Amino acid sequence: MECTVVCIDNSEFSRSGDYAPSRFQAQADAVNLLAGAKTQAHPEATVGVLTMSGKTPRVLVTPTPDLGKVLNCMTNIDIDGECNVSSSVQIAQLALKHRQNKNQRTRIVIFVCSPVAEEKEKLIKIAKKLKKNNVAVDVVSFGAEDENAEKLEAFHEAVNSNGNSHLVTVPPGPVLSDVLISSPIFQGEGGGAYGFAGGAGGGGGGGGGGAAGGDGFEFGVDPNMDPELALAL
Amino acid sequence: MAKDLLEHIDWSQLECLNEQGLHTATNALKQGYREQDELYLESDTDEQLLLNIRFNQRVKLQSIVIKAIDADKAPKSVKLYSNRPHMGFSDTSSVPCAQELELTPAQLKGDPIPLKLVKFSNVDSLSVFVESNQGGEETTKLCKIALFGSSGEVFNVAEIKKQGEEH
Repeated sequence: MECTVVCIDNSEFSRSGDYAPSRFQAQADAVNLLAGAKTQAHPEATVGVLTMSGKTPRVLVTPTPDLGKVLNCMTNIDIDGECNVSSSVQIAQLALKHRQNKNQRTRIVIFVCSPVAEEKEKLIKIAKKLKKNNVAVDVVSFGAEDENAEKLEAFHEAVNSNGNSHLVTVPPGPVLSDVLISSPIFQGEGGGAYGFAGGAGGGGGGGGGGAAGGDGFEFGVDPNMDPELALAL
Repeated sequence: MAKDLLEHIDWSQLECLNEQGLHTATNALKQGYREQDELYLESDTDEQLLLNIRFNQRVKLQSIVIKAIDADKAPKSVKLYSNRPHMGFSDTSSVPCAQELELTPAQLKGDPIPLKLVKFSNVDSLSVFVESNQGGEETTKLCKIALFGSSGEVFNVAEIKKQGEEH
Protein backbone atom coordinates (compact mmCIF):
# COMPACT_ATOMS: atom_id res chain seq x y z
CA MET A 1 0.00 0.00 0.00
CA GLU A 2 1.71 3.13 -1.18
CA CYS A 3 1.62 6.88 -1.23
CA THR A 4 3.08 7.97 -4.56
CA VAL A 5 4.03 11.43 -5.71
CA VAL A 6 4.48 11.72 -9.46
CA CYS A 7 6.88 14.41 -10.68
CA ILE A 8 6.10 15.68 -14.16
CA ASP A 9 8.57 17.19 -16.58
CA ASN A 10 6.65 20.12 -18.06
CA SER A 11 9.70 21.92 -19.38
CA GLU A 12 9.96 23.45 -22.86
CA PHE A 13 11.76 20.26 -23.90
CA SER A 14 8.53 18.36 -23.48
CA ARG A 15 7.03 20.09 -26.50
CA SER A 16 9.16 17.90 -28.73
CA GLY A 17 7.28 15.54 -31.01
CA ASP A 18 9.74 12.63 -30.98
CA TYR A 19 7.31 10.74 -28.77
CA ALA A 20 3.85 10.84 -30.31
CA PRO A 21 2.01 13.20 -30.13
CA SER A 22 4.45 15.19 -27.95
CA ARG A 23 6.71 14.23 -25.04
CA PHE A 24 4.36 16.01 -22.71
CA GLN A 25 1.23 14.28 -23.95
CA ALA A 26 2.87 10.84 -23.93
CA GLN A 27 3.89 11.58 -20.38
CA ALA A 28 0.39 12.67 -19.40
CA ASP A 29 -1.09 9.44 -20.78
CA ALA A 30 1.44 7.40 -18.86
CA VAL A 31 0.73 9.28 -15.64
CA ASN A 32 -3.01 8.77 -16.03
CA LEU A 33 -2.52 5.03 -16.49
CA LEU A 34 -0.07 4.85 -13.61
CA ALA A 35 -2.40 6.69 -11.25
CA GLY A 36 -5.24 4.39 -12.30
CA ALA A 37 -3.15 1.30 -11.72
CA LYS A 38 -1.99 2.37 -8.29
CA THR A 39 -5.42 3.39 -7.03
CA GLN A 40 -6.95 0.19 -8.38
CA ALA A 41 -4.33 -2.00 -6.79
CA HIS A 42 -5.25 -0.92 -3.30
CA PRO A 43 -8.28 1.07 -2.10
CA GLU A 44 -6.21 3.16 0.28
CA ALA A 45 -3.34 3.89 -2.09
CA THR A 46 -2.87 7.58 -2.78
CA VAL A 47 -1.30 9.44 -5.68
CA GLY A 48 -0.17 13.06 -5.83
CA VAL A 49 1.11 15.14 -8.74
CA LEU A 50 3.83 17.76 -8.84
CA THR A 51 5.20 19.76 -11.79
CA MET A 52 8.96 20.21 -11.92
CA SER A 53 9.31 23.17 -14.28
CA GLY A 54 8.17 26.75 -14.22
CA LYS A 55 9.02 29.39 -11.64
CA THR A 56 9.00 26.83 -8.84
CA PRO A 57 7.96 23.21 -8.63
CA ARG A 58 4.33 23.03 -7.60
CA VAL A 59 2.20 20.37 -6.03
CA LEU A 60 -0.93 20.25 -8.16
CA VAL A 61 -2.63 17.45 -6.26
CA THR A 62 -1.72 16.37 -2.74
CA PRO A 63 -1.73 12.57 -2.42
CA THR A 64 -5.32 11.42 -2.81
CA PRO A 65 -7.10 8.13 -3.48
CA ASP A 66 -9.39 10.02 -5.84
CA LEU A 67 -8.33 9.18 -9.40
CA GLY A 68 -10.65 11.84 -10.78
CA LYS A 69 -8.64 14.62 -9.14
CA VAL A 70 -5.43 13.34 -10.67
CA LEU A 71 -6.91 12.98 -14.16
CA ASN A 72 -8.42 16.43 -13.88
CA CYS A 73 -5.24 18.22 -12.91
CA MET A 74 -3.32 16.63 -15.79
CA THR A 75 -5.43 18.62 -18.24
CA ASN A 76 -4.48 21.95 -16.69
CA ILE A 77 -0.71 21.82 -16.84
CA ASP A 78 1.26 24.49 -18.69
CA ILE A 79 4.53 23.84 -20.43
CA ASP A 80 7.09 26.32 -19.19
CA GLY A 81 10.75 26.74 -18.28
CA GLU A 82 13.25 24.15 -17.17
CA CYS A 83 13.08 21.40 -14.59
CA ASN A 84 14.51 21.77 -11.14
CA VAL A 85 14.94 18.17 -10.08
CA SER A 86 16.49 18.76 -6.67
CA SER A 87 13.81 21.16 -5.45
CA SER A 88 11.10 18.95 -6.89
CA VAL A 89 12.36 15.92 -5.04
CA GLN A 90 12.59 17.87 -1.79
CA ILE A 91 9.04 19.10 -2.18
CA ALA A 92 7.86 15.61 -3.07
CA GLN A 93 9.51 14.32 0.09
CA LEU A 94 7.68 16.94 2.14
CA ALA A 95 4.38 16.00 0.55
CA LEU A 96 5.06 12.37 1.44
CA LYS A 97 6.04 13.28 4.97
CA HIS A 98 2.67 14.93 5.50
CA ARG A 99 0.64 12.04 4.17
CA GLN A 100 -2.46 11.27 6.18
CA ASN A 101 -1.91 7.55 6.44
CA LYS A 102 1.50 6.96 7.98
CA ASN A 103 1.22 3.23 7.33
CA GLN A 104 1.69 3.75 3.60
CA ARG A 105 5.02 3.07 1.97
CA THR A 106 6.41 6.12 0.20
CA ARG A 107 7.40 6.39 -3.44
CA ILE A 108 8.32 9.11 -5.89
CA VAL A 109 7.97 8.56 -9.64
CA ILE A 110 9.97 11.01 -11.72
CA PHE A 111 9.51 11.53 -15.45
CA VAL A 112 12.53 13.10 -17.12
CA CYS A 113 12.58 14.27 -20.72
CA SER A 114 15.03 17.14 -20.52
CA PRO A 115 18.71 17.35 -19.61
CA VAL A 116 19.17 17.19 -15.86
CA ALA A 117 20.96 20.33 -14.68
CA GLU A 118 22.15 18.98 -11.34
CA GLU A 119 25.60 17.45 -10.96
CA LYS A 120 25.93 13.71 -10.43
CA GLU A 121 27.30 14.20 -6.90
CA LYS A 122 24.33 16.32 -5.92
CA LEU A 123 21.93 13.72 -7.28
CA ILE A 124 23.67 10.99 -5.34
CA LYS A 125 23.42 13.04 -2.16
CA ILE A 126 19.70 13.53 -2.73
CA ALA A 127 19.30 9.81 -3.44
CA LYS A 128 21.00 8.86 -0.20
CA LYS A 129 18.70 11.10 1.79
CA LEU A 130 15.70 9.47 0.14
CA LYS A 131 17.05 6.01 0.82
CA LYS A 132 17.70 6.94 4.44
CA ASN A 133 14.06 7.89 4.80
CA ASN A 134 12.79 4.72 3.10
CA VAL A 135 11.47 6.51 0.03
CA ALA A 136 11.57 4.40 -3.13
CA VAL A 137 12.08 6.22 -6.43
CA ASP A 138 11.13 5.17 -9.95
CA VAL A 139 12.64 7.18 -12.80
CA VAL A 140 11.30 7.20 -16.35
CA SER A 141 13.92 8.60 -18.70
CA PHE A 142 12.86 9.47 -22.23
CA GLY A 143 13.75 12.18 -24.71
CA ALA A 144 17.19 12.97 -23.27
CA GLU A 145 18.17 9.41 -22.35
CA ASP A 146 21.78 9.54 -23.55
CA GLU A 147 22.68 12.79 -21.86
CA ASN A 148 21.09 11.81 -18.60
CA ALA A 149 22.07 8.14 -18.58
CA GLU A 150 25.12 8.42 -16.37
CA LYS A 151 23.50 10.78 -13.85
CA LEU A 152 20.26 8.84 -13.60
CA GLU A 153 22.03 5.52 -13.30
CA ALA A 154 24.13 6.87 -10.43
CA PHE A 155 20.97 8.25 -8.84
CA HIS A 156 19.17 4.95 -9.20
CA GLU A 157 22.05 2.99 -7.73
CA ALA A 158 22.22 5.29 -4.71
CA VAL A 159 18.50 5.27 -3.97
CA ASN A 160 17.77 1.62 -4.66
CA SER A 161 17.27 -0.53 -1.59
CA ASN A 162 16.68 -4.22 -2.29
CA GLY A 163 15.18 -3.58 -5.69
CA ASN A 164 12.42 -1.24 -4.57
CA SER A 165 13.42 1.47 -7.05
CA HIS A 166 13.57 1.28 -10.83
CA LEU A 167 15.07 3.20 -13.72
CA VAL A 168 13.30 2.71 -17.03
CA THR A 169 14.78 4.24 -20.15
CA VAL A 170 12.44 4.54 -23.12
CA PRO A 171 13.90 5.19 -26.57
CA PRO A 172 11.80 7.03 -29.16
CA GLY A 173 9.62 4.76 -31.23
CA PRO A 174 7.30 2.59 -29.15
CA VAL A 175 4.43 4.18 -27.27
CA LEU A 176 5.66 5.40 -23.87
CA SER A 177 2.66 4.04 -21.97
CA ASP A 178 2.97 0.58 -23.52
CA VAL A 179 6.61 0.27 -22.55
CA LEU A 180 5.82 1.38 -19.02
CA ILE A 181 2.91 -1.00 -18.57
CA SER A 182 5.25 -3.93 -19.02
CA SER A 183 8.00 -2.41 -16.91
CA PRO A 184 8.61 -2.95 -13.18
CA ILE A 185 7.14 0.50 -12.51
CA PHE A 186 3.66 -0.75 -13.29
CA GLN A 187 4.24 -4.24 -12.01
CA GLY A 188 4.13 -2.81 -8.52
CA GLU A 189 4.63 -4.46 -5.18
CA GLY A 190 5.00 -8.21 -5.25
CA GLY A 191 5.16 -8.30 -8.99
CA GLY A 192 1.41 -8.42 -9.43
CA ALA A 193 0.28 -7.14 -12.81
CA TYR A 194 -2.39 -4.50 -12.50
CA GLY A 195 -4.81 -6.49 -14.58
CA PHE A 196 -3.63 -5.07 -17.89
CA ALA A 197 -3.89 -7.68 -20.62
CA GLY A 198 -0.66 -6.33 -22.03
CA GLY A 199 1.41 -7.07 -18.95
CA ALA A 200 4.36 -9.19 -19.99
CA GLY A 201 4.38 -12.45 -18.08
CA GLY A 202 1.40 -11.14 -16.11
CA GLY A 203 1.65 -11.56 -12.37
CA GLY A 204 5.21 -12.82 -12.48
CA GLY A 205 8.11 -11.00 -10.86
CA GLY A 206 8.85 -7.48 -11.93
CA GLY A 207 11.60 -8.39 -14.38
CA GLY A 208 9.46 -6.90 -17.17
CA GLY A 209 11.28 -3.98 -18.81
CA GLY A 210 11.73 -3.57 -22.48
CA ALA A 211 9.14 -5.70 -24.24
CA ALA A 212 7.70 -2.93 -26.33
CA GLY A 213 3.97 -2.87 -26.87
CA GLY A 214 1.58 -5.20 -25.10
CA ASP A 215 2.16 -8.90 -25.57
CA GLY A 216 -1.61 -9.19 -25.40
CA PHE A 217 -2.96 -12.50 -24.21
CA GLU A 218 -5.09 -14.48 -26.61
CA PHE A 219 -8.66 -13.22 -26.41
CA GLY A 220 -7.43 -10.33 -24.26
CA VAL A 221 -7.96 -12.14 -20.98
CA ASP A 222 -5.13 -12.44 -18.45
CA PRO A 223 -5.10 -16.10 -17.30
CA ASN A 224 -3.81 -15.10 -13.88
CA MET A 225 -6.72 -12.79 -13.26
CA ASP A 226 -9.45 -15.06 -14.55
CA PRO A 227 -8.23 -18.62 -15.20
CA GLU A 228 -11.68 -20.10 -15.72
CA LEU A 229 -12.62 -17.60 -18.39
CA ALA A 230 -9.27 -17.99 -20.12
CA LEU A 231 -9.68 -21.79 -20.21
CA ALA A 232 -13.20 -21.54 -21.50
CA LEU A 233 -12.20 -19.36 -24.44
CA MET B 1 10.01 -7.84 38.33
CA ALA B 2 11.07 -7.09 34.78
CA LYS B 3 10.40 -9.57 32.03
CA ASP B 4 11.52 -9.65 28.44
CA LEU B 5 8.93 -7.82 26.36
CA LEU B 6 9.74 -9.82 23.24
CA GLU B 7 6.28 -11.38 22.99
CA HIS B 8 4.64 -7.97 23.04
CA ILE B 9 6.41 -6.59 20.03
CA ASP B 10 4.12 -6.20 17.02
CA TRP B 11 6.39 -7.55 14.30
CA SER B 12 4.11 -6.53 11.45
CA GLN B 13 4.59 -2.87 12.36
CA LEU B 14 8.31 -3.01 13.01
CA GLU B 15 10.12 -0.35 11.01
CA CYS B 16 13.75 0.63 10.90
CA LEU B 17 14.88 3.60 8.84
CA ASN B 18 18.31 3.57 7.20
CA GLU B 19 19.00 -0.13 7.81
CA GLN B 20 20.91 -2.19 5.29
CA GLY B 21 18.92 -4.74 3.33
CA LEU B 22 20.88 -7.69 4.67
CA HIS B 23 21.41 -6.39 8.17
CA THR B 24 18.00 -5.52 9.45
CA ALA B 25 16.37 -4.78 12.78
CA THR B 26 15.02 -8.34 13.09
CA ASN B 27 18.61 -9.50 13.50
CA ALA B 28 18.86 -7.39 16.62
CA LEU B 29 15.41 -7.97 18.08
CA LYS B 30 14.13 -11.44 17.31
CA GLN B 31 14.73 -14.33 19.61
CA GLY B 32 17.54 -16.51 18.40
CA TYR B 33 18.76 -13.89 15.93
CA ARG B 34 19.70 -11.44 18.64
CA GLU B 35 21.77 -14.02 20.49
CA GLN B 36 23.99 -14.51 17.46
CA ASP B 37 26.67 -11.87 17.24
CA GLU B 38 27.19 -12.56 13.54
CA LEU B 39 23.61 -11.45 12.86
CA TYR B 40 23.56 -7.72 13.33
CA LEU B 41 21.76 -4.53 12.44
CA GLU B 42 23.83 -2.09 10.42
CA SER B 43 22.99 1.37 9.16
CA ASP B 44 23.12 2.20 5.48
CA THR B 45 23.74 5.64 4.04
CA ASP B 46 25.13 7.14 7.25
CA GLU B 47 25.62 6.30 10.92
CA GLN B 48 22.09 7.03 12.12
CA LEU B 49 19.28 4.58 12.69
CA LEU B 50 15.68 5.08 13.63
CA LEU B 51 13.84 2.06 14.93
CA ASN B 52 10.06 2.27 15.43
CA ILE B 53 8.77 -0.55 17.63
CA ARG B 54 5.04 -1.04 18.20
CA PHE B 55 3.71 -3.15 21.01
CA ASN B 56 0.54 -5.18 20.88
CA GLN B 57 -0.55 -3.72 24.18
CA ARG B 58 0.47 -0.96 26.57
CA VAL B 59 3.64 -1.88 28.46
CA LYS B 60 5.86 -0.39 31.15
CA LEU B 61 9.50 -0.22 30.19
CA GLN B 62 12.05 -0.67 32.91
CA SER B 63 15.32 -1.28 31.17
CA ILE B 64 16.92 -1.69 27.77
CA VAL B 65 19.85 -3.82 26.63
CA ILE B 66 21.91 -2.72 23.64
CA LYS B 67 24.76 -5.00 22.72
CA ALA B 68 27.42 -4.31 20.12
CA ILE B 69 30.69 -6.12 19.53
CA ASP B 70 32.32 -3.75 17.04
CA ALA B 71 33.67 -1.11 19.41
CA ASP B 72 34.03 1.76 16.93
CA LYS B 73 30.78 1.18 15.14
CA ALA B 74 28.82 0.67 18.33
CA PRO B 75 26.10 3.22 19.10
CA LYS B 76 27.01 6.14 21.32
CA SER B 77 24.23 8.68 21.56
CA VAL B 78 20.81 7.05 21.68
CA LYS B 79 17.53 8.90 22.14
CA LEU B 80 14.33 7.14 23.13
CA TYR B 81 10.91 8.46 22.21
CA SER B 82 7.71 7.13 23.66
CA ASN B 83 4.36 6.92 21.87
CA ARG B 84 5.37 8.62 18.65
CA PRO B 85 4.53 6.08 15.98
CA HIS B 86 6.10 6.43 12.52
CA MET B 87 8.86 8.80 13.56
CA GLY B 88 11.12 10.08 10.82
CA PHE B 89 14.62 11.49 11.04
CA SER B 90 13.31 15.01 10.58
CA ASP B 91 11.08 14.57 13.65
CA THR B 92 14.03 13.85 15.93
CA SER B 93 15.06 17.49 16.02
CA SER B 94 11.59 18.79 16.83
CA VAL B 95 10.06 16.12 19.07
CA PRO B 96 11.28 16.04 22.69
CA CYS B 97 12.84 12.72 23.62
CA ALA B 98 11.75 10.76 26.67
CA GLN B 99 15.28 9.79 27.57
CA GLU B 100 18.73 10.26 26.15
CA LEU B 101 21.50 7.71 26.63
CA GLU B 102 25.23 8.04 26.16
CA LEU B 103 26.34 4.44 25.90
CA THR B 104 29.58 3.37 27.58
CA PRO B 105 31.60 0.34 26.48
CA ALA B 106 30.47 -1.41 29.67
CA GLN B 107 26.81 -0.93 28.79
CA LEU B 108 27.45 -2.15 25.26
CA LYS B 109 28.46 -5.56 26.60
CA GLY B 110 24.83 -6.25 27.28
CA ASP B 111 24.11 -4.94 30.76
CA PRO B 112 20.56 -3.69 31.22
CA ILE B 113 20.36 0.08 31.29
CA PRO B 114 17.64 1.31 33.64
CA LEU B 115 15.07 3.72 32.19
CA LYS B 116 13.07 6.52 33.78
CA LEU B 117 9.99 4.63 34.89
CA VAL B 118 7.80 7.71 34.84
CA LYS B 119 8.44 8.37 31.17
CA PHE B 120 7.86 4.82 30.06
CA SER B 121 4.92 3.74 32.17
CA ASN B 122 2.36 3.45 29.40
CA VAL B 123 4.15 2.71 26.18
CA ASP B 124 2.41 1.72 22.97
CA SER B 125 5.20 2.65 20.59
CA LEU B 126 8.91 3.09 21.24
CA SER B 127 11.30 4.83 18.88
CA VAL B 128 15.01 4.26 19.26
CA PHE B 129 17.11 6.89 17.51
CA VAL B 130 20.80 6.08 17.23
CA GLU B 131 22.36 9.45 16.59
CA SER B 132 26.07 8.68 16.58
CA ASN B 133 28.55 5.88 17.10
CA GLN B 134 31.60 5.48 19.32
CA GLY B 135 34.28 5.88 16.73
CA GLY B 136 32.64 8.37 14.36
CA GLU B 137 32.45 5.61 11.76
CA GLU B 138 30.36 5.78 8.61
CA THR B 139 28.01 3.05 9.73
CA THR B 140 26.71 1.87 13.06
CA LYS B 141 26.46 -1.82 13.98
CA LEU B 142 24.68 -3.47 16.85
CA CYS B 143 23.80 -7.11 17.44
CA LYS B 144 21.13 -7.05 20.11
CA ILE B 145 18.38 -4.87 21.46
CA ALA B 146 16.22 -6.23 24.26
CA LEU B 147 13.49 -4.50 26.21
CA PHE B 148 12.51 -5.36 29.75
CA GLY B 149 9.51 -4.30 31.73
CA SER B 150 6.04 -5.42 32.55
CA SER B 151 2.76 -5.67 30.79
CA GLY B 152 -0.70 -5.27 32.24
CA GLU B 153 -2.90 -8.16 33.32
CA VAL B 154 -3.71 -9.94 30.11
CA PHE B 155 -6.49 -12.38 29.55
CA ASN B 156 -4.61 -15.29 28.01
CA VAL B 157 -7.20 -17.19 26.00
CA ALA B 158 -4.85 -20.12 25.39
CA GLU B 159 -4.73 -20.81 29.08
CA ILE B 160 -8.51 -20.94 29.38
CA LYS B 161 -8.66 -23.52 26.62
CA LYS B 162 -6.09 -25.70 28.36
CA GLN B 163 -8.10 -25.81 31.52
CA GLY B 164 -11.21 -26.72 29.57
CA GLU B 165 -9.46 -29.70 28.02
CA GLU B 166 -8.36 -31.04 31.36
CA HIS B 167 -11.92 -31.75 32.34
